[in-house]
Amino acid sequence: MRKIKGVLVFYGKLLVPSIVISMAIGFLGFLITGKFSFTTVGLGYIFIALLFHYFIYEIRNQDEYYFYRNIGISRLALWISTFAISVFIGSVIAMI
Amino acid sequence: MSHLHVDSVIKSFGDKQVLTDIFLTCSTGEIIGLLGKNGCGKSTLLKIIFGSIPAERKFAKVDNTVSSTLFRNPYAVKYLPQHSFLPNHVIISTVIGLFCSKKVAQQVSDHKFIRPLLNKKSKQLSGGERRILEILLVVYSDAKFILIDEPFNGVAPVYKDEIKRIIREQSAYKGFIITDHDYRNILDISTKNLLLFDGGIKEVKGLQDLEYWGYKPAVKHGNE
Repeated sequence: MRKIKGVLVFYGKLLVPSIVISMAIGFLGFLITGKFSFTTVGLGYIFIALLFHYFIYEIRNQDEYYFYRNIGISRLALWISTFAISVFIGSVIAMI
Repeated sequence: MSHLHVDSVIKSFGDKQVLTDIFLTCSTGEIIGLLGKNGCGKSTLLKIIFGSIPAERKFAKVDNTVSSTLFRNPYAVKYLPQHSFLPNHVIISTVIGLFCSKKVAQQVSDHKFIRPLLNKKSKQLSGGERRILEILLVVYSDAKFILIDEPFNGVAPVYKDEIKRIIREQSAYKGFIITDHDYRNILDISTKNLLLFDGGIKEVKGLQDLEYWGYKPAVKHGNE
């Protein structure tokens, strides 16, 4: 249970900036094509969330991984969870 | 009584072999002070024991459980790195609840230094406040062995005394391996001292040994 909570707290940091940027991508698409596409937002979300994971945790706050390792979650597990959660959220957005 | 056993540790960076066949054991009840000059491999050794960085060769076990990634078992080993590891986007009470069991979380939350911080985020804390919180989290945790990298770095004297007190108190149930350049505070609490020198480990009995191995400058008696 603690590991699941840990993964959710870890992902929480990526959620808001990823949604904001992927929505911005959607609006940019709307300005260019005249049509707002949730598929574009959803696909953009998956890519942007992975990008934020890289910049926030691999570049800026690498030591934060130790917090999660101490509760038994490896760096690889966190990357896999980011990918899985992002695909889930991105798919939900794309289906709107 | 539990035992942490680490041997055959070899680690190189490029052409330089930093750790050369290191052997180290720690039992619950022991506080091992791990000293050494900058860049000698103290932090690297702790990370290798914890399992967060690979070594060319290593053997590590806690009691009869052999593992190359001891961190996967949160009840075996906890590690506090040199720099802050707290997530900075959630409040401290959430951090404590996530890191500790219910009983330990209560103990940490009730601590006089932590109680006023519970509703703040870690980015709102001073460096010293963050450090004391991190130390309380790992020292009071349910793990049998605690590896701490520079606990006394950048903290006020009042915090240093508290850190020493809780480490002494918890050493009744746990084993500690602590590294810091503040060797006086290390010598004050340790039951055994080791010096990493030239890739190997030397046992240190006192200040004279530290002078002999060139860790601290030699001083005339009475002029220290």
